[in-house]
Amino acid sequence: MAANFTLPTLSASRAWRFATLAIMYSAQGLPFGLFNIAIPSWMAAGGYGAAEVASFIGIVSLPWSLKLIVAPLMDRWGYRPMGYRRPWVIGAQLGVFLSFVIFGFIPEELLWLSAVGCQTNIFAATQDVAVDGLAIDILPEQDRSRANGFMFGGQYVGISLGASGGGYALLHLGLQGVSLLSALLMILVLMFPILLLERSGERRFPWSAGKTSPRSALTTSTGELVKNTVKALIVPASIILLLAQVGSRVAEGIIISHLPIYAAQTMGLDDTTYNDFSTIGGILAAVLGVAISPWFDKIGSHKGFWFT
Amino acid sequence: MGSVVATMSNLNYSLGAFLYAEISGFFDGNQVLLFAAALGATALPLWYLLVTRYMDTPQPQHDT
Repeated sequence: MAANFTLPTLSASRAWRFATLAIMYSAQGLPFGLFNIAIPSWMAAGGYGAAEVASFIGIVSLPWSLKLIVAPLMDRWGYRPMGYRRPWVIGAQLGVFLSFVIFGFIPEELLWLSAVGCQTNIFAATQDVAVDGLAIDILPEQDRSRANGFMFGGQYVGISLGASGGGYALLHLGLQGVSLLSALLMILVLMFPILLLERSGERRFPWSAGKTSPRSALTTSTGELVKNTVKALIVPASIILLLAQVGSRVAEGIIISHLPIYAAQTMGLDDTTYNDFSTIGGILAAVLGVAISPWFDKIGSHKGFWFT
Repeated sequence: MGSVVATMSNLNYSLGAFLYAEISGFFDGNQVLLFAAALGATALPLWYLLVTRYMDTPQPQHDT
């Protein structure tokens, strides 16, 4: 007699919720590490100029600015019998997988690298918005801080894999090898949202049996969402926050574009050394941030500001 | 609100890369790093204003 095996659902299993969110975040981190660290340093070591490396980073990073446009689309359209956010997560993750496959077969020219890198990040950014929506929807209030830790940790694992692992793979397997290896990882990640339903009774695939759960049937008014966002934006604190971001993030964009060139062409470091330094620095910063954040809660933001 | 901040933050990051693509031919590596540091420092007064004026501030209480 065959065993009756039922897979858990995300709304019912806390462990699978955390695991799925962490693994989905690692799938967003991998393209970041690959496109912002490993490939730029490979380009710099291969003789590409500063302007070319920086243009590549600028173009492939642009889709992360489109998140504001994607979010209302998700609220408005979806295939609810498969869940509230799961169809978007699956679609976006499938897009990341296919983009990596395409990336493996393009000419090694700046235009092609930038265009397909940009396409990959369109899907990665969409996956990010969908997973954030999924997290808010399925996480009970008391689990949100812990889940945030898992998501943050997963993202750093992905960035490290993309930057450091991607760098070594580029060196030994070439661009095609690293792309197909990334595609393989993306298809493994895709198994999570395919196998785990949001709520029991929903459809796994469009052709499967199942029905829309009462939660997934609820829709959000896009007009209301836009109205609330505009309201929140026109207060002085929001305007100052947006302006403060300009200086710090533009500077970050300059530095991340400059460092691969500086490491390869001025310091004479090989590309994997720069990738490893970036990865170790990122991990140390993340661990330090997590370790001292409770202390910041204690001392308050005024003292914290002067400390940083 | 969070998504607006994240969107603008990512847009500024890309703008930084494009800006570097434009200026990299005119400056050497150290000058670029100094420029980026100076640009980052322009945000400090705004962060200070944000922290001192809008954070750790007791919310206004309504009279009953």
